[in-house]
Amino acid sequence: MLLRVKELRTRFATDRGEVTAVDGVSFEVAPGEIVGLVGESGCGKSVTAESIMRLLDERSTRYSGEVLLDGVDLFGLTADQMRQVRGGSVAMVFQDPMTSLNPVYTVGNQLEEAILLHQRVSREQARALAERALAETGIPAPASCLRRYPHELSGGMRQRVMIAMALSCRPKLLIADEPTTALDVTTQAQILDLIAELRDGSNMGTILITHDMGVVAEVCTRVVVMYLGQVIEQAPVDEIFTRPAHPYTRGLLASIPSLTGDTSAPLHMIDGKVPTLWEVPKGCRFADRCPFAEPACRDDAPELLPVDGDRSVRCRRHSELPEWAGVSHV
Amino acid sequence: MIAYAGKRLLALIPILAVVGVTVFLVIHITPGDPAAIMLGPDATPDQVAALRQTMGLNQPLWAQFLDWAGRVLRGDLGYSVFLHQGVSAAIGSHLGPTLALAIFAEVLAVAVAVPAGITAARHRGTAVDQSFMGVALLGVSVPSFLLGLFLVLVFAVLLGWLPSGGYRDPADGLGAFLRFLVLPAVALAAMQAALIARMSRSSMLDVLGSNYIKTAKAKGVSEFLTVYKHAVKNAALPIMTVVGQSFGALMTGAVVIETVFNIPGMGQLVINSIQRRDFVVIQGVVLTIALIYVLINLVVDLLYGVLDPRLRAERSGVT
Amino acid sequence: MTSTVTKTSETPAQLIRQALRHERRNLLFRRISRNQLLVSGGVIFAFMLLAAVLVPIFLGQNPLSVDPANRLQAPGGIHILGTDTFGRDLLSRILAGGRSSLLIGCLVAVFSSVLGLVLGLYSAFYRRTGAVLMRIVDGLMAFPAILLAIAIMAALGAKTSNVIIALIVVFTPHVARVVRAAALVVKTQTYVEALNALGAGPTRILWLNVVPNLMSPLVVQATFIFADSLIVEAALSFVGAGVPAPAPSWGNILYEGKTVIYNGWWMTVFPGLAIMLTVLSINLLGDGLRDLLDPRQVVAR
Repeated sequence: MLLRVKELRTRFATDRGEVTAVDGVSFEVAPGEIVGLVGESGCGKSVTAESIMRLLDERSTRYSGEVLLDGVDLFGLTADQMRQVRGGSVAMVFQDPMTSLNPVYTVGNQLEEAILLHQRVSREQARALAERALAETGIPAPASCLRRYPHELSGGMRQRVMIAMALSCRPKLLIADEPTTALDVTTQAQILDLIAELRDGSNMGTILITHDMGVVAEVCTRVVVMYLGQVIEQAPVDEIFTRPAHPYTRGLLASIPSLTGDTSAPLHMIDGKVPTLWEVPKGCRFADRCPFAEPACRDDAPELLPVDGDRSVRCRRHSELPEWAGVSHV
Repeated sequence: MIAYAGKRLLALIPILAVVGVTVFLVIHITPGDPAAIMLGPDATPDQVAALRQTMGLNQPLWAQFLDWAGRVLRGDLGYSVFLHQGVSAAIGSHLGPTLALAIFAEVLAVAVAVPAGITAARHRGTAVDQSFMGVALLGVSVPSFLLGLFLVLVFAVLLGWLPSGGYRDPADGLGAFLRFLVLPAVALAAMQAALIARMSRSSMLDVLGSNYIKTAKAKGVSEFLTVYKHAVKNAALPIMTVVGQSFGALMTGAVVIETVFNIPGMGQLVINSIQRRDFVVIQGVVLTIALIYVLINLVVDLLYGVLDPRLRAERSGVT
Repeated sequence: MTSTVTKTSETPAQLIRQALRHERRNLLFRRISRNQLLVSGGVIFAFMLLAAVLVPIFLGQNPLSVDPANRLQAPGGIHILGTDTFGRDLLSRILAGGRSSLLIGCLVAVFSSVLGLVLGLYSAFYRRTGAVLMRIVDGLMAFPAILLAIAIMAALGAKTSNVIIALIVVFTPHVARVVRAAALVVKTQTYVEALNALGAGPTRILWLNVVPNLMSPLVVQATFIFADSLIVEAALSFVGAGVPAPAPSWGNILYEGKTVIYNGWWMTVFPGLAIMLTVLSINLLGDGLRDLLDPRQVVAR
C-alpha cells in the first residue's frame, strides 16, 4: 500500500482557541489508483493534503496520527528529511495556477530548481529533463516555454507547468488540490485527460481533491467523502454513484442537475448549512441537515464502519435507507 | 520601456507646474510689501522702490510668474542681497555637505533596516520579531533632530568620544569627515531605518503568504532559499520604493539636523535666510529640494518598470 | 443572551434589538480592552494631557516670569526640573509648551481632516474638477512637509496662528488623497449602485452611506497627522520659524537648550522626553485604532 493515513488529526491555534480542522481521518491509496477526496468547501480536504505534506506552519499547528508512505511515517521525519520527501516522493499541484508560480522567475528556472533539488544531475541535464517534463504534459514548443515568465502563459498552460513540475521527479504520490477549479470547461477536460493518461502510464498514486462529482466520475478509481473534518464514506467510484450509502453523499449526488429526467422539478439542495469548526455538533455531525435523522443520531457520534467489501460508512442508519433511485432523486 | 517612461514624464508636468507656482507664490503671500520686509525697517522708501524695480514686483502677477519661470528654466534662481551672491551659486556651494550627510544616512539605514525587516518577517510572532518592531516603533516616534540632540548629549557632552558639531571636507581627510558626520547621519537615519524595516517586514509577510511560496515549499525548497531566493525578489519592489522615497526624506531631515550639528549645508542656508527674510534664497532652496524629491520618485518609478517583468511584458505586448 | 427582567410592554423584536445592542457593546469593549496598543497608547496620552492641564494649577509657577538670578539651575528644589537660560521654571514651561503644542496638533488634525474630507469627496465624485484638484494635491505632496512649512512660515511671519495655517496646508493633501481613494472604492460598490437605482438622491447617498465608510481611515489618518504635526511644529520652533519666543513650545525650549547643551542638559532631556512620550503614545493609539477599525480580523495560523 503506497499511502496509509491513520487517524490524522490536525489542530490549529487561533485567537478563539484550538480548532480541529481534520478529526481522525483515515484512508489508503494504492499504487496506480486515483483516489478522489470529495466534500464541500471547508470540510478539511485541503488541510488533509497539506497535513500529509506537512506544509502547514508547525508553530501553530498540531498533527497527530500517522501518515505512512511506503511504510515510513512522515510525521516522524526531521524537517530536513521531510524536505527531501516534498517534491521528490510526494508532489502537490495547487488550485490556482494564476498565482502558484513565482512571477519573477522563468518557467525553466522554476522547473530546473525542482529537478536539481531531488536529482543529482548537471544544469544542462536538468534543462533537458525540464523540457521533457513539459512535453509530457502536452505543452507545444516546450523549449521556448522554458524561457517564458508565468504571466506570459494562459491558465491552462500554467497548470500544465505545475503538473510538469510535480511530476518531474517521478513522485510515488501526486496530490492534486482542485487542479481544474480555476480553469474553463474546455481546459478542465484537457487537464483531466492528462491526469488520466498519467495514471495509465505509471504506478503513481494520486489523490485528487475536488468538490465536483463530475470530475470524480471521469477519472477517479475510489472516492473518499469528507464532511466537517471527518471521512463519512469511502467506496469504489462505481458504487458511490450507484449505491451511495451516506445521506450526505446522496445529497451531493442529488444536487447534480441532470439532462434526462424531470427538468422542471426544482433543483435539490441539502437543507441548512455546514456548521463552523467552533460549533461542532455532539453526535452525528450531519444530523441537523439529514432527512433521515433520528433522535439517537444526535446523541451518539457514529463510527466509520466497513460495509460489504471495499466500502465504509459513518452512519447508523445506512442499511435502513430507501433504495437509491439514481442521480436527481434523494 | 519608452512608452512607460514617457507616461511617467508626462505625469510630472502638472506636478512641476504646481511646485513652481507654489514656490513662486511664497513671496507673494507675505502680508505687506516683500521688498520692504527684506530690507528691514531701516530702509528708505527709495531703497524699497529700487528693490521693487529690480525684483520686478511692480508687474502684474502672471507676468512676474512667466519671468520667474523663464529664469528658473535657464538655471537662474535669482540674486540674494544679503549674501551678495547668485542664489544658484550659494546653493551649489552648500549642496555638498547636505548630499554627503543624506547619502551616508541612507547607506546606514538600508544596511540595518532591510535585513532586520526580513529577519522579523521570517520569525513572525516570536520575540525577535516583536523586539525589532518595538525598536522600529520607537524609531518612528523620535524626530531626528531630537535624536541628534540626545546623541550629542551622550556621545559628545557625556562621553566626549565624538564632536558635537561641525563639518570636515572629505578632501581634508576621510577619517575626520566620517567622525564629524557619524552622529548626524545616525540621527537622520533612525527614523527612515524604522520605516524601511517596517516596510520590509510587511512586504515580506505579504509575499510569504503567496501561493507560489507554498509551491516552493511543496517542491522541497529549503527555508533559507524560500526566503532569500523566492520571496525577496518579489518583496524587493515595494522595499525599493520606500528606500527611494526615504532619500528625499533624508534630504529634508538634513535641513533641521544641520542646525543641531552646525553643518554648512542647504539646511543652514535656508534657516539663516528665514531670519533675514531673504525670500529669494528660501525660494531657491525649497525649489531645488522639491525638484530633487520629484526626480528621485521618478527614478524609482522607472526602476520599477525595468525590474518588474510583468510591466516589461505589457510593453512588449506578449501575454 | 438572556435578559433577566422582562417588561411586559416590550415586543419580542424590541427585546432582541436590545440584546443585540448589549452584545455589540460587550464585544466592542472586549476588543478595545484586548487591544494592548490602544490601551497603552491611550493611557499614556491621557496622562500627558491631564498633566499639561492640571499640574500647572498645583505648581503655581509662571512659565513666563524671568528670574536671572536663578538662571540655569539644575533640577531640584522648587524648580523640579530646573530653570532655563532666563531663570524661568522649566517644568511650567514644558507643561505650557505641551498645552500649546497639543492644541496646535489638535486644531491641525481636525481642520485638515475636515478640509481633506471635503476635497477628497469632491474629487471622487466630480471627475473633471476632481482630476485638477488631485494634480494640485500631488504637487503639494511633492514638497517635503518641513520644507513647505518653513516656506509658508517665512512668508507669513512667525506667529502661532501662522503655524497652524502652515501645518493645515501641509497636511490637508494627505487626507484628501486617502479620502478620495476610499471614496472611489465605496463609490463602485454594488450597494451604492443599488441605492442609485432605488432613487436615493446624491446627498443622501453621500452623507448616509459613503461618509460613514470613510470614517475609519479618516480617524486613523487624523491620529497620525496629530503626531506628525507635533513633530513638525517642534522642528519649526527649533529652527526659529515656529512659535515665537517668549511663548513656550517644546521646540523653543530645545532651541534655547542647544546653546547651553554643555551646561544645562535638563533643557534638552526633559522637553525631548515629553515630545517622545507624547508622539509614541499617539502612534500607539493610531496603530491600535487601525487594528480595531480594520474589519479584516486575522486568525493566527
